[in-house]
Amino acid sequence: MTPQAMMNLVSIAPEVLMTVFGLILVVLDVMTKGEKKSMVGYFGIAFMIITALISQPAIGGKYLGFGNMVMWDTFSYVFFVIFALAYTLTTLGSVEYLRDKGILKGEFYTIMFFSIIGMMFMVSAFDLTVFYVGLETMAISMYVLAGFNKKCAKSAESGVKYFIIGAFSSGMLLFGMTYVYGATGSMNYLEIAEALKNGAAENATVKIGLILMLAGFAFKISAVPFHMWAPDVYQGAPTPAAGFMTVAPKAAAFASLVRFVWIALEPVAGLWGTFFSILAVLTMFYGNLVALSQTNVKRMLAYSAISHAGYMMIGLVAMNKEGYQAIALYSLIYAFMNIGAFTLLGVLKNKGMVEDERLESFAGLAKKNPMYALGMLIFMFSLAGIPPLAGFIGKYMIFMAAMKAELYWLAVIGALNSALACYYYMRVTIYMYFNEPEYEVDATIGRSAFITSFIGAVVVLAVGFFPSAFISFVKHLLV
Amino acid sequence: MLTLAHYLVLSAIIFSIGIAGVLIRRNLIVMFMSLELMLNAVNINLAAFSNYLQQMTGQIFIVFVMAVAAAEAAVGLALIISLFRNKQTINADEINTMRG
Repeated sequence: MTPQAMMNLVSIAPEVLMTVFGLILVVLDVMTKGEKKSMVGYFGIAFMIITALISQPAIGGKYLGFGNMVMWDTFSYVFFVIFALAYTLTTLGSVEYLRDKGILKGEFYTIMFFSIIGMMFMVSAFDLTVFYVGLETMAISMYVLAGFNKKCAKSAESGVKYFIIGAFSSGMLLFGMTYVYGATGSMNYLEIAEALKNGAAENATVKIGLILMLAGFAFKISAVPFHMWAPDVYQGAPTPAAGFMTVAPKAAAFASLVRFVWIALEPVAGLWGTFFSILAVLTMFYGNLVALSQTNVKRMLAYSAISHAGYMMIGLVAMNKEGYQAIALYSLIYAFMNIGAFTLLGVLKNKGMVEDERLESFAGLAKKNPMYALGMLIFMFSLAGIPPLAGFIGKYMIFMAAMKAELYWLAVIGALNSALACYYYMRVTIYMYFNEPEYEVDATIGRSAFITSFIGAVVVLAVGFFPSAFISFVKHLLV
Repeated sequence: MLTLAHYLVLSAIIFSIGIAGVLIRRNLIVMFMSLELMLNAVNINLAAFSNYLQQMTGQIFIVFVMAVAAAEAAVGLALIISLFRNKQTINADEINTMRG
């Protein structure tokens, strides 16, 4: 085999391995029955671990294959680990919820697994073609996950809304891509950067194309004013799927955005820098202010997911080494705390009420179910960014990256917003600890939900108390 | 003589019709058809640019776009059917159970 062919194979090996494993999962799904369907998910976890162990690149190693179309390096690897963790936590925590709703099916795990292959391609992409196909693999799987509970009107509604808006934003992204392609003559990130440097940036076609593309991206990361789908979709989707959707696709969109804007659009950094800093401010303020008035905790967490995208955008605008380390670190921490919170949310059941996730349902839980309340307290405090929990470390890294890039005003606005956000996260804990229950609620944590929330809480505490080890580990990986 | 500009104008018109259709029409099937229009405008653009630049990249991309559009159609129609079974309607104005 020629060295080039070898390089091609290495650059794409993790995705190929995952695809083979995904097909095995489909076969396993056919072979299991009824209650055993969760085995499909557990096999998926094993496959992810195998892939993660085999495909770790050397530190600083870059495997660029297929005519500079796919890149496998530590950045792709770290994000693969984040997706794998999101998958693992969701799978472990979802079994009881799915069994309860009568949707314990192998497809749930298989579709999540395949969506991760799409995300890996998005992050590894060095070419718009590969990026687009990865994006759609991810997005189409997500539409299915959102509408997974076919019998539930809300879930179906959420699926359809996600589909219409997702396809609409993909259309915009694609139309922008064609203009960029036409004006620069290439789909490759490096060649686009080259063409932009040589004067294509002045071209009106490129400008229209880039604006359309960035708007499409903004839809995918649910940045205000392109966010309107997010609350409905997250609220309607089955709770474990919603937890997965707020973490993995968002991390993938951010990672691919980092690749695309930092490499391909490097010569026009001023243009997208302004665009994203405005969006970051709008997203943080809007997400936090609207979350204040929510009485449904799931919807509140959906708005909180929007505001967290705003924080991550600060890291994107910073455009330095600290910036991408911070984005990776934030996604990693966010995976633990948000999936933990959603898992606990999925446990809560009202007796005879239509809506399960009302704020009043949390009243008095501390007395009745102290473990549940403690877990929720840890996740809420961490999401609010209160030291010494992991969420604080994530925000700290983001703001440090902004300081380093001399974007002091963005860091200040971010810090103000995390103070604002405390109110609605605290409100949940106040209901749990200080209010009397109005009606009966069942919050018995099953075994699988316990494992996920336990892992989440332990990691949140450990990272919060011993941040230096964790930070240096991520920095070591992402030189 | 047809030039690049003719194709670009055509595709821009089709794309605008698609966007307007998604935003204005309230029937989910019609909205879905408008989405397909948007993707087809993309294909016209790609073919035009591909010919103009004398490159194959754009034409190869068209195949991917068509494949993805087909996959999207399968999933989208399935979702619309599952919504119809739950609510007996495919009017976008009536799918508004979630507010806030």
